[in-house]
Amino acid sequence: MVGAVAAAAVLQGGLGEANAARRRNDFRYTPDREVARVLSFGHRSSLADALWLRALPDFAREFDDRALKERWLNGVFDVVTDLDPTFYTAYSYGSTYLALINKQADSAIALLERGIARYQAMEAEDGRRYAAGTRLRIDLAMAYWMHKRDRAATIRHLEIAVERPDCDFLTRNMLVGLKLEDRDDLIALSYSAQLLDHQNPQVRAKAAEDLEYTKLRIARRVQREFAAEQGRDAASLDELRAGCGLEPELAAMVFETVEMSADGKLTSWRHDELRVQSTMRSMEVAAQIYRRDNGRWPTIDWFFEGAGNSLLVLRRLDIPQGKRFVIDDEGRVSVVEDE
Amino acid sequence: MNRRATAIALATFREAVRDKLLLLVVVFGVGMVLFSRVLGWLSVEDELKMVQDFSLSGMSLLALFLAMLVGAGSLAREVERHTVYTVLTRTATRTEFILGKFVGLVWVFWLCLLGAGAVLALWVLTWGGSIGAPLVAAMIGLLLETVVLTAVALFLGALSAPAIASVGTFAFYLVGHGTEALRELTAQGRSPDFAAVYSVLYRVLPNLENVNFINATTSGRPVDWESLGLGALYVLLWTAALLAGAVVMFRRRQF
Amino acid sequence: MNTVIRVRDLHKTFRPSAFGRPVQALRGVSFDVTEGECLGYLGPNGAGKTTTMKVLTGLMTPTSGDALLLGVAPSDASARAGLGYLPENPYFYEHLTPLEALDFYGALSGVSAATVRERAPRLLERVRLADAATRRIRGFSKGMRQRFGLAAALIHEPALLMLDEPLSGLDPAGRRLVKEIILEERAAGRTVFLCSHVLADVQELCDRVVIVHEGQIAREGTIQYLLESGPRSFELVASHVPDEVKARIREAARLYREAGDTVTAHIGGAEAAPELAAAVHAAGGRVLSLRPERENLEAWFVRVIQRETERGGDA
Repeated sequence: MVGAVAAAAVLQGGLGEANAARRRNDFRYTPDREVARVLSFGHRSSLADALWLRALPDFAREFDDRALKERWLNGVFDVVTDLDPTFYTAYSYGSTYLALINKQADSAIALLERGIARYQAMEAEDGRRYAAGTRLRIDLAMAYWMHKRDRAATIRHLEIAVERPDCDFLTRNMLVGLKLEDRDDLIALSYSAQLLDHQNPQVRAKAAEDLEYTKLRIARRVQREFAAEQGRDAASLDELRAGCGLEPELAAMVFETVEMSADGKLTSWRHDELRVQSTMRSMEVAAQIYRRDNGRWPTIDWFFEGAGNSLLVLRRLDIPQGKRFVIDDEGRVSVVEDE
Repeated sequence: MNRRATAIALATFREAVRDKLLLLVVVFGVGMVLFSRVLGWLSVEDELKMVQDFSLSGMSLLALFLAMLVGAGSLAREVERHTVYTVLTRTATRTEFILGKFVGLVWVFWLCLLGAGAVLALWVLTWGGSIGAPLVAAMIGLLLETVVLTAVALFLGALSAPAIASVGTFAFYLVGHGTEALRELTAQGRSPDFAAVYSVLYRVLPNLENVNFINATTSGRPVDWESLGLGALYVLLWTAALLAGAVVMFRRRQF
Repeated sequence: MNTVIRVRDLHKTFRPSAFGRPVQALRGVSFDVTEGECLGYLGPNGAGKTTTMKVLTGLMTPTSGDALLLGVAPSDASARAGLGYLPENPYFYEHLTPLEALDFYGALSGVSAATVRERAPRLLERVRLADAATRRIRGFSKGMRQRFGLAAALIHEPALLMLDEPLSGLDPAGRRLVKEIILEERAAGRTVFLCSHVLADVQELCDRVVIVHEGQIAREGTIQYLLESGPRSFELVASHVPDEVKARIREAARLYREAGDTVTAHIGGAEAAPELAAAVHAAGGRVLSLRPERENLEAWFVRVIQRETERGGDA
């Protein structure tokens, strides 16, 4: 008996190797989308989930035959998203995998466009917007940006994305940045100002802060251009404003809140003010969480050391000279003069 | 439902509830709901989607297995054990017998499904989901599907042996969830030679997709209550037809 | 007297399978059962007894002929309102308790819930199942099921009791109990239609028998009449019998047994036995008993069936 088991163990060693080698190229069958639709017998979402779960470990597998892998990959994404057109992960992960790991940017873009088309159809039918539709649009813009280096296409899709109510500020600011590079200052400002009268006060505050930042960015670009043209820095804000070449009304708007420090650095007092305010709101949220976890409000020092610190580090906030934050008994954060 | 049919329904209910087979099938259903979480873990993301999808699929299978294992054999069991002799020799008619059996079975099956549904609800809440309209609609659809599957099982049970009735019920389920493919075959001018045949088949064959609301329940899409209502009407029409068939077959039976 | 059951020229032909040969279970059966009567319906296995019962209870429709319960076809539910039926080897819903099952059968027979609640404990008491009233039928022995079946058949106090082998599977105490109940029900005026192959029971319970054989009525009449039409015999028991008388007895006897001092003999004929008894007495022996033996229904039944079979063979 021991001999037989030992022999089997030896054989298993060889078999394991052989099997592993064979598996490298065995083609995982993925059903055709129409076959899958019929064979799901109504359990379309579950079949999509099951096919997705089966495919997940194989994404990490190495194939010797690249064509085979491409066929398999596209088959998986196609059938899974056909069975469940609302399977966001399949589009988003799928496109990232295709573009980044398999270097198939076109397939990735096609997959995202398919998803967007499906969401558009659903939105037309249901008369409402879906967050996944927005995210897919942003994913598509980013795919054009990173994998195709197609600036125009990126801007085109970002412009669609920012018109959707659930578009995030990061995406909005990317579009603003691109517009500024193109010197489309008015458009950049209008994108920044778009959410100024949003119903959510936090969104309004963020929009106001970002609008001021956009103005500052325009002012700084103007400053760089002045230096490049004149071969010297502008001595004062007035000089800069006079020689900036912006439309007078635009210039008035841009320079309204901008200041120049002694070393020639441009800052916006309005932007700093808004940033301090939004930081205080963030600190208050963090304080709430701290109180929920610890049963008491944090001390103000907690924000500057240890766990609370990351909040301020992330904001890279310069605390105004002669001032400091305080937190009161109700968790409200404010700024007071240093005594 | 008169008193006799109600009594038969109640006896059927009591008999089925106390049967071990039912327990086994329900354990399967609840197990499927709980197991869905394991699949959710495998998915890395989309845990809630997987929990919900697999649970609802499991409940649809639960309805099917109840109809196949408990429903399809229920008439044969009565005949085989001669309990039917003690029922039909009273003033109960065969129509009342079939109706009573049907209502009793639907009652039990609904209870099983609602039990599994409660487990699902708890499960979804446990893993951070919420019970919204899509889940409720899916559940109502499953209950309606159970009604028609029970009627099929009884009809086939009145017509033939339990094994055949079971297989037939399964076939009905497959056909009922497969007919949508026929419409796709005729859509966009494909296979024009058979389009007429397909479109007739599509209308004539039972279509359980009308009450299938188990897909994409996590997508946030609104529930089309009107189509669920029409689906309910459709399914009830099929149920009525199948029950009428079961009554006709059962009245012709010689014991 | 009203006719409770009326059967005329009943035929039933089965086709076991689509291509199988048809089987004629009933070939023109006719009989009546009048109100208050207890009719024994006898026949060997496969004679058509159960088929007749199934037609009479509406479980089957006849191929041709008429069967009427109180003037109405049994397939009509109203005809079955006054029928209490106990099938052979009855099975009930296994997971119900006797009380639940009586509720159920009461409802099926149109008895109000209140009446069932009132009758059920008494009935269960009567069939000695009061202790098992809340246990599931699943665990019941065959005898308990049989007794419960009788209770279920009586829950709506039917005018007609149809009992298929009501005594099979019962222990002696159970048999006596069921017999008593049947006799009580008869005494209460119920009509009883009893199917059995235990002929002694039929003899004990029924006024009249109908014998069915191969789907036809072989004999019909009162038990008295049928038995009296056969030959008689006596049983003689005596002791201290002198040898020469013993020899005469042995010669005349159909069956002869000697145990110690006692002689037991079964002697055919109406005259031989009394004469031999006189001879024993005259010779100084003691006559312990002299009993006329009516022919046992069993023997009679076998004889009738045999004759039927022979006649069938001749034809």
